[in-house]
Amino acid sequence: MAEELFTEDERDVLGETVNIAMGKAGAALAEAFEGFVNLRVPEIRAVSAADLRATRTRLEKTYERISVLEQEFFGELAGRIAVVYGPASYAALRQVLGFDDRDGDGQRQREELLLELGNALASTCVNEIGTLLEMRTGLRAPRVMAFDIPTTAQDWHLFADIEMASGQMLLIDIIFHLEAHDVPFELMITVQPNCVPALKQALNKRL
Amino acid sequence: MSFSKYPTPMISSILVVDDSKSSRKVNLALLHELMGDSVTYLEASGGEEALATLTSQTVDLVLLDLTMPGMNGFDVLAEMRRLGLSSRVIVVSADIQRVAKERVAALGAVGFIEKPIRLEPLRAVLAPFGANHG
Repeated sequence: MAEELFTEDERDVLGETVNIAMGKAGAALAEAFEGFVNLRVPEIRAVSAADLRATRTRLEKTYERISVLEQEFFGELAGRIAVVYGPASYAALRQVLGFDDRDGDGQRQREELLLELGNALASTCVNEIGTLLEMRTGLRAPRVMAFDIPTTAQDWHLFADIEMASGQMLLIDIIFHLEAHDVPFELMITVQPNCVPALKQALNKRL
Repeated sequence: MSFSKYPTPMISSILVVDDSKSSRKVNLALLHELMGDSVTYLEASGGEEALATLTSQTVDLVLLDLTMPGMNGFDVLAEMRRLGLSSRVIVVSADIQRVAKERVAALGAVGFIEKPIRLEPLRAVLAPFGANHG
C-alpha cells in the first residue's frame, strides 16, 4: 500500500531515516533500563482510517492490559506519535523505575514516569526524523490516553480524532524489544496526508 | 571508533552489506573517494547474500549493517566466526547502544561507525587499511 504514496526509492530513504531515528530512541531506552534493546526493521506503510481501527483491534488481541501515551507533532512534519505499553512492558517499567503499586496514591507519579519515558522516546524519534530530512517540526505536551487498563475497555483511544479522517496517511510502526525483560515497547507514528508532498520532496533531495 | 590493533593489510576487495539501497550507494561513493578505483567493490542487500559472497570469493573488508530483515549483522558476524571467515568487518549501524558496540567487537568486528555515515569517521577507521588522508 505504501507504494501509493511513495516510490520504491523514496520508501528506501524514508526507511533508512526512520532506522536512524529508531536507533537513537533505542539507545535512550537501553540507557533508561541499563539493558539491551533488540531493534527490528521498522514497518512503514500507507494506511486509511479503517486500517488504524484495525490496528486498535490488533492491540486488543495482543495485550490484555494497555497503557498508551500520545503526542502531537506539528510543522512541516506533522502528525501523531503513540507509545504503547503492554502489561509486560508496564511491569518492566514498574520493576526498573521502582513503582510501588501497593501505594494507591502513587498513580499520578506512575503516570508521570510513563509520560517521561514515552516523551523521551517520541521526541527523540520525531526530532531526529525532522533533523535528518531538514523538515521543521515541534512536539506538543504528551497525554496519557490509557493507563494500565484492560484492552477490552471502551474508554481508551488510539489516534482517536484521526480515525475518522479520509485519505491515505503514513504509518510507521517501531517495536523495541527489551532483551532482559523479554518485553516489547511499540512506537507508532502517523504523518498527516497534507505533509506527504513536503516529505516526498525532502526524500527526493536525498536520492 | 576503531577496535583495530593489527598491522596494515592490503585491501583489494570490499563488500558493502546493507538492506537499504540508498545506504549502499552512499557507502560505495565514500569508499571510492577514500580507497580509489583499484579496489573491487561488492554489494549485498542482506545477511544471507553477504555470506554467500563471503564463502564464494575472497573479500578483504566488509562494511556491515546490523539492523536488517532476516539474518541481521550480529548473526552474520557469528556465522563468519563459526565458518572461520577471515574478512575484516567494520560495522556501520544506527544501533548505537553501548552494548551493541561491545557485542560486535566481541564477535570480531574491527571498527564501528554510526549512521548516518560521514566521510571523516570512515576515513579514520579505514586509515589502517590504506585510505587516503584527504
